[in-house]
Amino acid sequence: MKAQIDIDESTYTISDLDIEAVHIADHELTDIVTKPRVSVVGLAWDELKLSRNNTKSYDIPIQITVKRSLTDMVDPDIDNLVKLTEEILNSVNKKFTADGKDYIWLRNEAYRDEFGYPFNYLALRAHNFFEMLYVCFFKHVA
Amino acid sequence: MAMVGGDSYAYYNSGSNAVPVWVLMGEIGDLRIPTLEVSMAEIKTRSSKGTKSLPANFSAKIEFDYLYEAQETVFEYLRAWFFARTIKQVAIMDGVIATSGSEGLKIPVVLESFPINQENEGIVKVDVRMSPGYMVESSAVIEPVWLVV
Repeated sequence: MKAQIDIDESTYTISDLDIEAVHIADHELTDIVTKPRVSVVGLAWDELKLSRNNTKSYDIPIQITVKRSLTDMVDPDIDNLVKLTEEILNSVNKKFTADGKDYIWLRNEAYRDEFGYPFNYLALRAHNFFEMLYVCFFKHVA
Repeated sequence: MAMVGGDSYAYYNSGSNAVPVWVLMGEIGDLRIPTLEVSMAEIKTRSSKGTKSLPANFSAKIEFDYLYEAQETVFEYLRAWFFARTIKQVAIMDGVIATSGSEGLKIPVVLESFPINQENEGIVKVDVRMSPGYMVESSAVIEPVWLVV
């Protein structure tokens, strides 16, 4: 599946970022020091039989992570990274067409730890590592 | 032998009772016949303390959901049938209707309701409900029957 994200970068002070479609969002901290990295990962999907003709619906979760290694846990760039994530999430709220197939956006779900922050609190506190993770759900019928 | 509902077959007759042309309704989801019963004619006499009954009229309801697919042949047929308010035959079978040994309910019906559901995170479907219809062919009333091929 092709990934497509439209980002209005002019809104934010982040002027550069890496975006990539990968199977696993796994990076070294040294890779994400100079600019944030946005990873788009296709997760395991569910299929449901809809009719006797075997028409099926596919519930497709796409994981989006935004990562950046910061100087400290009060780095002012945190605000920009949160806004960047918000912008990315707003950009997926539509119907995508890839290879002639329609994928309808359903909802975005946050991955939260027990602290409930929008980002990974323990990683930020212990390692100055910023990470936001969302799963965007799409539906496809074929 | 037990069977899976999704491996069953439902048809409408685009021909006549005498010369049927059975068309498979393939995009059916769940199908139910929630009503399949006869009404009771009660007998109460002074000579007996018990109320007794005789079977009277047969009644049935057929309900199923069907994928909303504009331009799909069967969906278009069902939609046109509903708005035309005509009576046609359907066959709710346990196997392919052309295969010997298949059996099921063959009945003339009116397409009673055709509501469209557009759930926000769901698949657009119509909930079809059918009731027995009064069908006459060659001066004979067509009755519901249990068809054994």
